[in-house]
Amino acid sequence: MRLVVILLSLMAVLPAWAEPETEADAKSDTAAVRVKVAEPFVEIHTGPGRGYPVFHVVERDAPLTLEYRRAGWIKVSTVRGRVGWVPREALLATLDGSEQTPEMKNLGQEAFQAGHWQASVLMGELDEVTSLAFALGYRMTENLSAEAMFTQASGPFANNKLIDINVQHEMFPRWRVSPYVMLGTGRAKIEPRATVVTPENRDENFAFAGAGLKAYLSRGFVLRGEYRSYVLFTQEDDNRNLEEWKLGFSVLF
Amino acid sequence: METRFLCTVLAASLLLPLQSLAAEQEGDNNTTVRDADAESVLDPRIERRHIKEADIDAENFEIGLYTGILSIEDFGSDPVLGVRLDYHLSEDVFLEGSLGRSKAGETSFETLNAGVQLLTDDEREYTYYQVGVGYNLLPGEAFLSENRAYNNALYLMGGAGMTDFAGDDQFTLSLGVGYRLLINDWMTVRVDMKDHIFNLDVLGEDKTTHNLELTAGIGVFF
Repeated sequence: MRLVVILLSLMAVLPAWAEPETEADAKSDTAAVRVKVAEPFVEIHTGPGRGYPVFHVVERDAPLTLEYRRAGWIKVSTVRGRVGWVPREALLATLDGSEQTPEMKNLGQEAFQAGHWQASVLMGELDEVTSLAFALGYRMTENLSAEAMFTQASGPFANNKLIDINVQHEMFPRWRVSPYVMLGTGRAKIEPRATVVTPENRDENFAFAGAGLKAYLSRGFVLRGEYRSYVLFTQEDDNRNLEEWKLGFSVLF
Repeated sequence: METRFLCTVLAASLLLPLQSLAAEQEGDNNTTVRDADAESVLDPRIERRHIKEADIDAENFEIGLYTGILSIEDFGSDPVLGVRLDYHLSEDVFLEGSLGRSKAGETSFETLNAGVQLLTDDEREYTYYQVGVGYNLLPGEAFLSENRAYNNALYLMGGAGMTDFAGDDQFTLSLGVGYRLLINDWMTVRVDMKDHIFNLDVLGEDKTTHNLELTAGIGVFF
């Protein structure tokens, strides 16, 4: 019941918050990023997508205010107050105050070679159990990245939670499909299922080696697949070997 | 209770566009405006500096709150509340992470046999988190009146995550379909329907359960 009240009050508050938008737009003029059209014309769409109709055309030499960008489109307004969207490529048809074409952000693979973060989500199979992993990594040099990963694998007998840190080496970082090898270590927490009568939770250390492929798709989006071979240092006499396949994607930023 | 609750939420989200409509000013009808008249060409407000795309404010993230009904297989339908964060990668694709909570009711077996409890109170807490990819299948405009159009999209979603229920974490796949209506360029109203699929062995055998979730929510781009 409390939730309903919170939600409804939020809904009542938000529209009021939305109203001053037009005023804010007018005020932001001072800090606005402005260009002028250099090609015969630029078409303005009603929404940020290829299918939205063109409702206005801005001709050569007319100024255009760039409000903000979203998912490959830029919201623009004209001096007469028309507001619409142009694709980011439309920047190439404009000139800024220094009579140059605005510098486009490089979204190719080469823009993310070093000094960038990488967030990943991977699904896989660890010892015949489905696993799900989240990772955050930092690419220190073209070849070397360090990463911390949390994996959760819940099978019919136990929930396994693994935390590891690893170092990845990309042999050919400039290839679109780039192979890498990795070494890492971490700690596993094994919790037997509530419905299974087994001893209490166990904590075990492990080390692993692995290899994989990263395929750069576009706009900092990477498809990633890897194989890992684990050695679990169990409290029993024998170490245990586990294998894991993972497939997922990364976002570079 | 739950149905009334959902109705209220849905009604509230439907009323929102009307309110913002009142706030909108009418579009001007003079169609022969020229932006490149002599006055504007010499507009001193074009700063003499080089512009990079990165100078333009980026608004690719959407954060939102949602609520609705979650039907937990064998355990009845209960209110659910969640938060989500979206990253809009392109006009077609977005990534979404969400976290939701609900609390399971009783199975009919428990209701009929007073005193029988399959799960403790703690184990009835249903928490899920998931990460997925969405595809804007049918983007377009919705017309409310002659002069007013709202951008919207029907999207498909698929994701994977974990559900903490009945004392265990269950690997969960979820598939869904949803509708996003943009009230203005930065505020959204969304209605989602998702199926959370996972294996549960509380009732003796391991079986695949389908847990349908119907939610409405609001979001803000930033």
